[in-house]
Amino acid sequence: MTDELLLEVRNLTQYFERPVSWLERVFGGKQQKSRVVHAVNGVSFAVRRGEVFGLVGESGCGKSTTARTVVGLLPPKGGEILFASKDITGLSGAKLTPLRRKIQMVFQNPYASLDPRQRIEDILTEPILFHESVSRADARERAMALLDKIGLHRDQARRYPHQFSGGQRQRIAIARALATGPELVVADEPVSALDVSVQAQILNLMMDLKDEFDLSYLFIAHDLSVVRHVADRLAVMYLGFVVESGSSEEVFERPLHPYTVALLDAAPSLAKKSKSVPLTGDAPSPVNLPPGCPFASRCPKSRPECETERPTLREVSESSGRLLACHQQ
Amino acid sequence: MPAPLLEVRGLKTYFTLWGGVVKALDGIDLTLGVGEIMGIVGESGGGKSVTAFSIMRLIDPPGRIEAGKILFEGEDLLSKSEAEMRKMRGRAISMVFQDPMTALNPLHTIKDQIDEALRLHTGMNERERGERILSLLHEVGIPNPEERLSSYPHQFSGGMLQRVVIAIALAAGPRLIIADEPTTALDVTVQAQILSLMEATVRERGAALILITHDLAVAAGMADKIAVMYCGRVVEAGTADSVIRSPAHPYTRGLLNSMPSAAQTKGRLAQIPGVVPSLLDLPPGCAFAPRCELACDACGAGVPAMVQVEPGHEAACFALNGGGNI
Amino acid sequence: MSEFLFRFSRDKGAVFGFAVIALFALLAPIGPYFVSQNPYDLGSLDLANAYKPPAWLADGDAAFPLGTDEQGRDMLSGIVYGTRISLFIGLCVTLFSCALGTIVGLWAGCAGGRVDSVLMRIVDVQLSFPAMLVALFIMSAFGRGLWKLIAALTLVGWVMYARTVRGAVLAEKGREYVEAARLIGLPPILLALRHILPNVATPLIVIATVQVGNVILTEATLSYLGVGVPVTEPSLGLLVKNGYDVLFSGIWWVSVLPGSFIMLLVFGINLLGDFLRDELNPRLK
Repeated sequence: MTDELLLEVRNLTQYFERPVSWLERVFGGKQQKSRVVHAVNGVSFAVRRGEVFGLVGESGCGKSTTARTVVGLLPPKGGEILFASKDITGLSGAKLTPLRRKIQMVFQNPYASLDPRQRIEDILTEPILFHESVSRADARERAMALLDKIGLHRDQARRYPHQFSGGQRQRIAIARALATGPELVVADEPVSALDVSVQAQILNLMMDLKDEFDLSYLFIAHDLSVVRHVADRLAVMYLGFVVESGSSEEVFERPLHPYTVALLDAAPSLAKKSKSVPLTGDAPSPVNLPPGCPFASRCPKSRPECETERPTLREVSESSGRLLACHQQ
Repeated sequence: MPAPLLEVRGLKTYFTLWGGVVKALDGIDLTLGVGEIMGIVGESGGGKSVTAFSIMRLIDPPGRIEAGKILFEGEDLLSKSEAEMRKMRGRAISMVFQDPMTALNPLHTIKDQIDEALRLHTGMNERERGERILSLLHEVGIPNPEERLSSYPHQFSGGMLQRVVIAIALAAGPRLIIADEPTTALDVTVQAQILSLMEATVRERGAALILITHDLAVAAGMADKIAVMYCGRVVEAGTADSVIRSPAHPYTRGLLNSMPSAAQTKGRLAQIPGVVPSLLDLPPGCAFAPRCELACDACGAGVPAMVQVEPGHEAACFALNGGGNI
Repeated sequence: MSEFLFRFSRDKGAVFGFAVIALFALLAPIGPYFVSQNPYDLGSLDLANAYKPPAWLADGDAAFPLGTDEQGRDMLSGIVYGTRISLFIGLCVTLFSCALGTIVGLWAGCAGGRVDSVLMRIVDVQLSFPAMLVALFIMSAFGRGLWKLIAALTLVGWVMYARTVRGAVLAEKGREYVEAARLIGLPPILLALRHILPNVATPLIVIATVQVGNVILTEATLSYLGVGVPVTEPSLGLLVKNGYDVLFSGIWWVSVLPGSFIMLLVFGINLLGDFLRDELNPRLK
């Protein structure tokens, strides 16, 4: 790992507007105004070349939206995205095409992320043929080499996705992501749809491929134990905000934000029965963001200023790069 | 020893599909005492959900319960008529499903949906039922139940909805609740709330609970007993402590080792090689043999029987002392 | 594929439907070689044979197994030739309207925004007119004729495909495999043709099957109303019309027999369509 920043996300904002239909305008009563879902609210983080950066949080915290904005599936509503020190924020169409090769994505659900009507070899050769002027035979040979790397047999290349198990499909999806020769792979919950024993296989494979192809991962997950296992550094998200970030060892050993503490406590573990009190209630709606700390409504240590003043993400210790957004510390 | 609440003996449930017969359950035995919590653990295809649906007698064609006994309070459920079974479901045995969003009818208020269970299974009059609904919602931890009575499912979050589903399951005072992956669709912090709620309510009422989960840690957290399933068979069963502390079957050990845990933070995870075989094309003998590091010739030849590892803990493996054919 | 056949063989309705369709499909090309006369050849008709009842009735003539009409035309020959015309129209119209509707639906669904709004409003407007009325207008404006009829029915029929395809495209567009293809950098046209179109084909096949039957019915109605095929090339619908005048004077077979064939054919198509819908719909599995 070097200190070179491969991906830099600054103050990223993403929201979705749901317009009000005329029906609702006539009958809707309360819902007269269009609803804005504030999915990502000024998120900043950076992925160094060669590292695995984890983005952790529960459903609705904005981690997947962040991932999809970074890879260019969604145009950002605010903020900047820098890749290898180049601003790629507003790029689209032809200008983005060469960059597409460098940033690829692995999706959560291997049952949905492979085109059911394409053979495996077509899935793998399509990106190669699109980006490089190579012959079909060469592209096929490269696809076969990828199959070797992910541990599938070459004679399975003529099959369709539904003939494979979930774990095998996720291997194929990983191979497709690698076909263009990317530098950054954004993995959105790549193992959460898989069985436990298969999860371990896929995580090991991803780590092997990272070394072999000099990859960096932006690794999105809700499962803390998975992130702890793979990530060098991580950021914890809640309601579209980063509440804490730092090296994964430090965050797990010494969580600072009350939400991180609660998240760690709530994770089921084999060490029998945690005695801590589980968090009560649910996360507030991203439609009406609270004016203060996003976690204040569930925080066991909430103070009056937490309700009114939104804490900013700031450094807590110079040396380690720990960042925290909390009034307590 | 008191008579067990539920005793499953040699249960076989097969599905006849094109391409052959899927032996989803191939002779499983389970024993559950009054008020006990049993975790049924395993990966997809293991037969956990089919077990639940077989006990409820909710297997639809092309599936069929081929053989075995399901003794509930001493009576064989398999010899009951469909009408008698309808009276058992929801009253004596009830179920909690994985996804609360689809388990509830979006067109009815939650009051109506709880009321329906009470009307069907209890002789209460309307006023008694109304009071019961409030006390149930209070019991499952819904804040301000009076105000939420006439709400519709879409007005609740996933965690709150699962509480409503649990309230419905509890409504008629069942002796056994079967929960099929009740927290898989929920967030970690909400999962912790729901699990502690379920444990507290069944313990308080003295009801038994079968908790079906893919997550060994969830089962370890609250179950008294754990049964591990693989390819339609129970491969290991015993008290939760004993199974987690000293797993005897290589599959259980593999599952435990492949969980990323606090103990080993970096480096390679232990993994079980290979894939779960298709139930249409099971290997001969022990179904786990092709993935097993301890496999020997005997494993391909016969199916191992359950042998006692220590009191109250058995596993089906030839590598164990005294391991032999069924 | 053989799993498909296994399930097919277990569905009695589908087998029956398929048998009926196969029978008609065979009847259309080879039937003319087996019947006694060419009903279009007016020279072969003899008015003395008019209104003979079917062979199994008293006065029946073994030469005319299903009786004759007012011109002494053999009903069996008429039905065989009529089936040919009806099936030809049904297949052509389905093919053309399916192609047109798929192009429009795919374009609207993939492009979205204003293109989508404009195209779909056109569809809505067309759907708000009764299909029969639209066909009736077109036919009365341009006159009778086989190809004119096919064109008119295509113009009426494409909207349904457009709607279905657009709906399916919108559902597929958000799927992860389409996003993965976008991440490769594929331009929208390739995305639509290579990834989305093959995945919306299933509902199309189902609708198209059932629509063949509907088109045959619509054509029969138009022909019955006298704005369909020309009298020289009678379809099944026109045969029904020919017998209508004498239907209540005891000469029922001229209308009822071709009508029964329409019913049998459409029934068979619908049974097969039902099977395909259940079989190809992944949500029902």
